[in-house]
Amino acid sequence: MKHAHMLKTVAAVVLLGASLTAFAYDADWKRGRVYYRSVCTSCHTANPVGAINPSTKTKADWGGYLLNDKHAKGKDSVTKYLSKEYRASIKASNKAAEKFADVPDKELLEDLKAFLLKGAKDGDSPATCS
Amino acid sequence: MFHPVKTIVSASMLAALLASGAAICTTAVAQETQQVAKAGWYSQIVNADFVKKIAQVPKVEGAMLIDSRPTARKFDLGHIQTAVNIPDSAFDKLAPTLLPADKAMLLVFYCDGPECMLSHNSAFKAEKLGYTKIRVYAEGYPDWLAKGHTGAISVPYLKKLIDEDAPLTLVDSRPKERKYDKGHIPGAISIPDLQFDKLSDRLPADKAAALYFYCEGLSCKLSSDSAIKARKLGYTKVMVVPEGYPAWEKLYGAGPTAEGAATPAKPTIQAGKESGTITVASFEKIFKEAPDTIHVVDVRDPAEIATGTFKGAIAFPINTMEKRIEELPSDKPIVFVCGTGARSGEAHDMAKLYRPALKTYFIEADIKWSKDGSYSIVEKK
Repeated sequence: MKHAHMLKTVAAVVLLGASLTAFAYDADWKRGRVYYRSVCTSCHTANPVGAINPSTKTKADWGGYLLNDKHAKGKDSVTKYLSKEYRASIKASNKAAEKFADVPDKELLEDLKAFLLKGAKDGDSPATCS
Repeated sequence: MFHPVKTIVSASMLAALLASGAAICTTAVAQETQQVAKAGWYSQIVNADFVKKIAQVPKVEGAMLIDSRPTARKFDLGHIQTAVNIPDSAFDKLAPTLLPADKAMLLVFYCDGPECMLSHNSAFKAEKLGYTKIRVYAEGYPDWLAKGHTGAISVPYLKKLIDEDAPLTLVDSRPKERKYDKGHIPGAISIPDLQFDKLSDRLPADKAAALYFYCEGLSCKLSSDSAIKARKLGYTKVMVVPEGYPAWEKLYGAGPTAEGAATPAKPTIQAGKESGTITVASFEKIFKEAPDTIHVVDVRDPAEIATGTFKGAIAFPINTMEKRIEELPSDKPIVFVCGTGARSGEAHDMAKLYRPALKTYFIEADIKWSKDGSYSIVEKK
């Protein structure tokens, strides 16, 4: 069981690392943090889901979550909520979406990844929403 | 393509160069170091020891040190004291007015190190204008600092920093009663060089705080001496303003006198290592001695704030920040606080994003409060 978990962790981190390497961009975890707070958390808080603390998952969990790209148990994708289209649709009422309207989707995804890995349970500085 | 050149370093050589009409000999050097010249370099190279003898206050006659780097991006931020700024890109325009009329005067050009060609380019241009004693300090400003010398800034740049409320401590190194009390640069504290050891506790506790020393212009070395003493105490960001108070007075009028300075200067914000942070020492000093000069904004949840916070702090939970950002006051700098520096850092980032004109800081520290307003604070390493 422990061995399987370790394999899963290694696989997720390797895959995540590979995705980061393939796209040469110096991720801005602070921008990811603002987006997570202002777009992800603000929506989750308003909806029944509630806020999701980054520190409730490990780096491997977050890595796997982003790679699987399944939001709301597969009802739609995570990347949808990072897309320019989504940002355009909410920018009238969301300052972060407005400010980041022109940020390429890939960059925003890397920013978010960087924040979630830093704020994960086993990250450099586990983060909560409150 | 590459060839070794000799670096002239001897004092006697400099004296010879400074002497009017002396012949320039580039091979008979008393002491030399081998450097690898690069293609396009000027042939006459000198090192920091040579430049040190020119970059003196009181100013050395018969020599001119020229900084060939761009003004706003390089020279303003720090240069070798006594240097005249003639950016290579503006050489043709500025040289006729800034270079000396005497073509036999020693000119030493420098820029930003061995990879920088600006000083060499300017040296060649000066040669074409007929100057006969030209040298290039190829290792330039980075080497100057690496050798332990103090960097300098201009008076207009100091004014800009003051106008921008940049975190700095300005020190007047002149005698207090005879000079400082009769007029000084606004915001400066008085630490006469002769009493430096006795009064050095007036300097900020944070050794990373930016210190700027000035005195009575290019004929005065008190500020340079004090700067050296400050560095010996462990201060890492020490600069001098060589043109000092005379240049300030000429450009911006007389500064406050002793009467104006009777009220002790209020403590100023000292930036911490991480961008956007205020040091704990600086925050505590301001919070105790001048709490009316900042807004303390607590970004924790209401339930957390209810268990205790700083006296006078504004409650502004991070989750409400985006919607209420316009409510943040803009009349004074804001210091965001929370229990660990995470949410306060986030608040700072959001403020910078949504209202960039606000002056905001946060405390990167673990803070615990009691209901009575007492607290413990431990700065993060």
